[in-house]
Amino acid sequence: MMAGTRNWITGATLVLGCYYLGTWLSSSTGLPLPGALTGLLILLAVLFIVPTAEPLVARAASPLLRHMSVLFVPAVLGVSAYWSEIAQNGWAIGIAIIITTCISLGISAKIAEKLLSSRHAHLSQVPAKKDAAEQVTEQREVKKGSDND
Amino acid sequence: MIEAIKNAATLSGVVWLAITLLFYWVGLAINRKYYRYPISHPLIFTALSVGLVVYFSNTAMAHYQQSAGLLHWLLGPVTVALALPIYRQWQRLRHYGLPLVVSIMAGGIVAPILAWAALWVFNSPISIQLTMLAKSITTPLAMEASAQIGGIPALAAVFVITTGVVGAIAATSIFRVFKVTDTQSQGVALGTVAHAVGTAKSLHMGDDVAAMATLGLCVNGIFTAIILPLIFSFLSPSL
Repeated sequence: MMAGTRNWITGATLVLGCYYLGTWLSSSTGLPLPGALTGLLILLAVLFIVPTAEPLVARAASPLLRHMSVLFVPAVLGVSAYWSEIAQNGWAIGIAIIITTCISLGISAKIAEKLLSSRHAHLSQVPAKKDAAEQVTEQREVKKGSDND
Repeated sequence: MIEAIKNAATLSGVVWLAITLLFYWVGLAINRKYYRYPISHPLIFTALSVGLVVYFSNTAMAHYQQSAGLLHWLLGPVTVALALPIYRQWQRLRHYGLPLVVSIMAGGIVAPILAWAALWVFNSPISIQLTMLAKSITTPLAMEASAQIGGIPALAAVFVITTGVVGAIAATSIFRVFKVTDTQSQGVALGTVAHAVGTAKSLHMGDDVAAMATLGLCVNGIFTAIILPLIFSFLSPSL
């Protein structure tokens, strides 16, 4: 219990430290990267250098990541300020999102299939790979969803 | 951070945070029951309900946003925390190597360009066009990136969620039309184009599909959030 709390605090401090370091770096060096993204890259580097930090970070970060959706609520409600702009461009936005998302989904799946299958072909000494993967998916056809964001 | 906590500690801060969390809790329960339907994403229910309460209680939206500012502030740390899933997928990324990275990048380039082109054809305002460029990546990164390039972060959040829901709903039929049968490639496309909502959908298609989707989500998120501001910082003198 005590150790759990201590881990949580260490992990949270690490994440926050990376966040503030990232925002500071981005704003003080004029780096064209969002501060939080710089913080992400720093935390990633920390994880690679000190792999033992992973459970600590997980302790603090996992609940936050699992419930990320609720954090967007104030931001999303901010669109009310842009209501007229959205309404005026409703058709264009609708088409841009619905149709192009479908096309992009198809195209990128197609590209992935081409590229990954050439990779499979390279590894043709072990052709069982793809079959095994298919079997696994068949077995797990119905599986309960968990994380939603 | 101090200011966000101060705002949360006021009466209206406590009330609005409680209302938001309460609706989110209901939204989660609905999502758990109807997890097969991407439209049951908890953010959709929560945002609509809270929006209605704010509207009917005659509260100014800016007042709500200030009161619930703690949630908004947490977006920064949660973006940093995305390093964790990326770190955990690293082995798999190394295993598939360049072909995987190239296919994720291809999807990450095709999706925003097509969406932007549609808006450009319709002559939409430039701020909306710019916002659309970030629509395929996970919400916190999309908001950061769109703010950086002169888009509208609030709008980015809405575009991103809508894209995810559309992608997750349409995925099965699209893969049939495009005749893509390899499930891992489907996972890559879902994560790359439809980010976290697509990844949630891929969970029902198998663990390895979900892992590929997570990779698509992570790699494309970072790739787009790095490349977009870079491109625009070079272009900006001419804009």
